[in-house]
Amino acid sequence: MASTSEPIIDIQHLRKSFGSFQAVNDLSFSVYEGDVFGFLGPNGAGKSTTIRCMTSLIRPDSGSIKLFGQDLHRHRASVLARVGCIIEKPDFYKYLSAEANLWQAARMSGHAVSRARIQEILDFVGLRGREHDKVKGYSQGMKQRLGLAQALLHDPDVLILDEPTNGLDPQGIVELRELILRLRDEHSKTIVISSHQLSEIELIANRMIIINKGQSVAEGAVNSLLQSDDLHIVVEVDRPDNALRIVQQHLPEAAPKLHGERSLELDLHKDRIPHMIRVLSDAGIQMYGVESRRKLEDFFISMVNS
Amino acid sequence: MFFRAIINELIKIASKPRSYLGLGAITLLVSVVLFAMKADGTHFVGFATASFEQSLSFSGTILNGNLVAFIILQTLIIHVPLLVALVTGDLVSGEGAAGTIRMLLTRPLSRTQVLFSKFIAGASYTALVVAWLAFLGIVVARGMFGVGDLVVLNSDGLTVLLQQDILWRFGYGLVVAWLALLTVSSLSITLSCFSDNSIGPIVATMAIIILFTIIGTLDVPVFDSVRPLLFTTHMASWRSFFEDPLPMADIRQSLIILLSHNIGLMTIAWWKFRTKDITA
Repeated sequence: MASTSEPIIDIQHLRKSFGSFQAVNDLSFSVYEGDVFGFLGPNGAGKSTTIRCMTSLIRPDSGSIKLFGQDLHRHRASVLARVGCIIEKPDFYKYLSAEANLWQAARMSGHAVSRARIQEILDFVGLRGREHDKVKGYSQGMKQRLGLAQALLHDPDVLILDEPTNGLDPQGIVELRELILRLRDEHSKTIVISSHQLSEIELIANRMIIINKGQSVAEGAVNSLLQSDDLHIVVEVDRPDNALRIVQQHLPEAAPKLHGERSLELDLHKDRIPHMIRVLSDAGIQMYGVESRRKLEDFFISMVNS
Repeated sequence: MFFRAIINELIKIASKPRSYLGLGAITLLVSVVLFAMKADGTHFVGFATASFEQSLSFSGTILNGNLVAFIILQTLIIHVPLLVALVTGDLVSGEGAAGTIRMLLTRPLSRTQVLFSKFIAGASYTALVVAWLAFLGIVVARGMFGVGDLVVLNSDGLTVLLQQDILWRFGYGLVVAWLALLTVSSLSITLSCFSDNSIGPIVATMAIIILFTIIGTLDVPVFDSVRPLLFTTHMASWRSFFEDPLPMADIRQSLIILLSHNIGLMTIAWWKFRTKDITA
């Protein structure tokens, strides 16, 4: 978004191993002010280790981590005072109420947090009225919202959310997405978000990195990474078996296959789409829709497998 | 910020049900001893002094609040470490087990501050346990049984301490008892830094206390050089204040050993906690 400015998070040549296992291997990336930065990778790719290094939970073997232009390890307190985070899943003192948990966070935030601010943040995450309930009675969705509340309490400049949709039902995922979008649009926060929900990242992130085996395999603006002339196409037709045979005959490079009961899916360069339409049309196949889009999921899989 | 971290730790201890388990257990145990002394104390004291009655004659009431308080402290101070470890062994590893360590250590507070805020909170809880024991054992016992001279059986024989010469001995004795319990607290916090589950450090602390106590009481020459260095050997040092004259060299040695253990253990805990990767 603001790639010409100084990065707000700057990771350079990060390495971390656990015994003989190299979790992060020479990883570098930057996050800029106002970014919603998607942090993607398959299980065991090194996402959590990287995020834990960025929040000082794990000490890297080598490399530099700078936030706000300051080295994290040398200026830990001043840097973390400007960061809010949920790592893996928000866990709280179950024997305390939500409000008491927020006070715990407030006292350690490095900022003066007022009672009014706590009420305001409870309002923001939709937990007003339940703040006196002990956390042990909270659902996973409520804990996630409380996690967001503790992360936002001191009005941080950067939010780091590691798998914030873990354990949420579809309704909870939608609610969390809306909260994150409000933070981006109304509060101009810089947000780093790692998630397995690729469709969520596609909806909210403007920049992203995909890592695999501890290394970056793709980094940049989501739109430009997903823009490509090689498209994944789904064609809805009246006679899919016939359509499949015709496409296999005229466009064997498209590797067509049946998709559901009434569709074909194929990979095709965009210049070849008119030809595909023509051969199907000439064969008397009725087409009800042609969806040509490169989805993050496809991109992710192609990058991880490459 | 460090002060606020201590407040947080104290609130957490005060909010955990297990913190009251120790205080409740002490209340119950002291009540049992008080009841037993009230019901059959004269017989108990008669049995204890029977062997001296051929050479000594006792006048007045030996069974009084000061003696009962001494018996209570002597009986319970051995068991209180287990109750202390129940709370302090959970201070660091409990955060790891609950997952709250991730939030705690991503705050703008150094790990050294986090660890020592827990140490101070643990020391405060230990002080509360000792104070509660002192209240029940000294204040309540003196209220129930009245005051008087204290007759104590030491290794050198019977020591008679005058009534006006007793309270300060209890005071200093309790400070040394607190220091001994603080060593247990430091041990459990140190073990807690090496673990991510709450039970392990508590059980390990108890196991170490039992092991050291066995080594301390086993009268075998091979342990002679080790015995004086074990903190468990000095856990009953509070009794030294009930000897006349005071064995100052022994008291000084006990204080040095207990303080050294505290400093050594907390240094190990600090080294481990500072460099620990939080992967849980």
